[in-house]
Amino acid sequence: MILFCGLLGVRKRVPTWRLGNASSWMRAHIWLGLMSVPMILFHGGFAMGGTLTQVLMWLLFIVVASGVHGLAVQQFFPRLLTNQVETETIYEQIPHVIEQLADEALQVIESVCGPLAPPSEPVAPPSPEDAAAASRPPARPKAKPAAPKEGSGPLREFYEKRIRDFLAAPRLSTEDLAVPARSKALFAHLRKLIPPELQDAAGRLEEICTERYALETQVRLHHWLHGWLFVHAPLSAALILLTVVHALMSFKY
Amino acid sequence: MARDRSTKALAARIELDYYKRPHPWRTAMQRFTVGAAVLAGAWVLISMRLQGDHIFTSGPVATRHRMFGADCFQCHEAWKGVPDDKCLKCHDAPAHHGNQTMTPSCASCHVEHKGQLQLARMTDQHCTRCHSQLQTTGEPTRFARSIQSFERGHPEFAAVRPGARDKTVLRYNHQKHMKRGLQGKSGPVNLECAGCHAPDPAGRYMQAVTFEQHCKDCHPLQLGLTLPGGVAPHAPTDVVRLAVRAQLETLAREHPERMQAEPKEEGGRRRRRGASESQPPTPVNTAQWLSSQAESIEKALVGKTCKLCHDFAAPTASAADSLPQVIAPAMPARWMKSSVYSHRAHRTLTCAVCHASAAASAETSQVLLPSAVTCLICHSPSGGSRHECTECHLHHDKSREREIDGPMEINPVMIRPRAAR
Repeated sequence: MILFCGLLGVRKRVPTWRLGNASSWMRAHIWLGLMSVPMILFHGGFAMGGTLTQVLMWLLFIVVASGVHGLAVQQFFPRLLTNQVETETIYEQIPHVIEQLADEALQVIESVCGPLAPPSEPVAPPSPEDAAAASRPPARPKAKPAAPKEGSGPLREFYEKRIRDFLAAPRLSTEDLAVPARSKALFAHLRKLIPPELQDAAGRLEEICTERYALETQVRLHHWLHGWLFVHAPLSAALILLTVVHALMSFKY
Repeated sequence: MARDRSTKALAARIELDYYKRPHPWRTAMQRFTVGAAVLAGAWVLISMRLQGDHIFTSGPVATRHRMFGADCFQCHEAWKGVPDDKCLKCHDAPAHHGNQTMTPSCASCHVEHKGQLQLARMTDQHCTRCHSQLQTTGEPTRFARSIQSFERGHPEFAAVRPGARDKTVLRYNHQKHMKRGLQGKSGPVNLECAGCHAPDPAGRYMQAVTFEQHCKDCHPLQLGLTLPGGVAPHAPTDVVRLAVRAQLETLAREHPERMQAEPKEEGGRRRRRGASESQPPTPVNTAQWLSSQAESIEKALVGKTCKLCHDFAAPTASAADSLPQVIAPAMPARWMKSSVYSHRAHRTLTCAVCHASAAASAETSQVLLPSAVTCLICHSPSGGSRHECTECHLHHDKSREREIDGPMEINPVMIRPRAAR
């Protein structure tokens, strides 16, 4: 049963196999995994046994518990994701999309404020995801910046002090723009400081920031949705290996 | 100018070949998975290095087997499990029955590595596997063929089934002996069960009641007026005869005046004692006197004293001169030989709880053992006491176990089989 449960990982790697569809495999994985607990308890006579069998028992309990946790979050979080993230994108592409949002914001601000000087120092050390993003080609060619419009100073200042760092940060913390209510208030205040012809640019920047925040929400929900796999999959591998050792030694003795 | 949020614009933001590049999330997952398997394998190898194969044990062994330490192969054989030979090195396990159809391996019943438990204490399933539908080879069995448990299918004890009787050739009346105020050696006595019935040192079974210990005080084998104070031994009649003759000879030697025949009155009748001492006693032949006195005493013993309890075998023509032989009582030392019992374990109960009919029993032929129904009062699921088959029955015939001088010896490290002698 445990070996069959482990085969789900293999099945996922070879989706073209004509051995039942993925949902059937998942159902079998879930039910056999759940059934393995009472079966193992009967197998062990409701005792933990020796060193190896104790380790096996605890591994099984943790693997099944993490699987049950995963099953539970899979029931609720996808709906939550749909409700909270209107602009959901592919998880692996989130850094790339964020980079495009930053470019888009820069284009918006340069179209009304003229060319901007590059930031003096990086906001945060680049993460592996950023490094991966850096290796990719730029998302779209940059438009030529226009001359600064009258009254664009507050907008430019707002961009340089808040928006640029907000969009460049790989992970949002408790920055003002990372709090929806606070972000809304800040943009409302900004609109009072700029002339009417710049309101459209401010609105676009607010949309970009909102989308950035939504992507951060997607990342957080994705981690809840799939983070348990960091416990489930490695311990399953250890469980399978030790189960094979246990079976071999049972035959030996 | 509003942002372009069309599906086409959003899709254009995605790289088409993104899945070809390693993603940190997936890479980390793969590394964790491989790492966990490697760690698990390394743990096994290191543990084997430090503890040997001990980590593979499925649990602690029973206390009796702890002396083997971590030497698994005292009991196990590689790739062959636990062969019976390994167990039989130390344990005698005679076959359950000669006509059994199936002989399970030792380890299939006595499951080790379950910690401190009695390996001999089997669940009923081990017994009912055969005894619920008993099949035998060879001669038909005398045992019940369908027993599910003590309360389901167990037959009445053979000793107390209808028609069963005590075949002991001995006259004994429990009812008379349990009366209050019996005349004892030194006054009235009230006999209790424990006055005659005492358990063996292990407290299991009642020891045999013996004449010397339990009967002699009230029922001495007196030899009559000729030998006042003389007592016959509780022995076969031949021995009794010799003892009587020896006592008479001693009397004749030490008190010859007693050997003189008592004077007889006219008409051949014996003179009354004290009637007249003027006529001197008539001297008699010693041999004749001894013979006549012995015959008289033996007649009284056999005809009255011994017969109080014993029966005699019919005299044979070849032994016309010898005394009749007492039929050996042949009282069984144990009644239910297929089971074990401990009186000590039941010592909180009065004897009458189980042996209720004893006080009213007037015939030796009455079996005074309890019925299985009496045992079931306590030894059943509702009674609360243990009621497994092994409470009373042993699978292996313990009487065939070796006594001493087993096959093992102790070396400085652990117990090992000793070298062949």
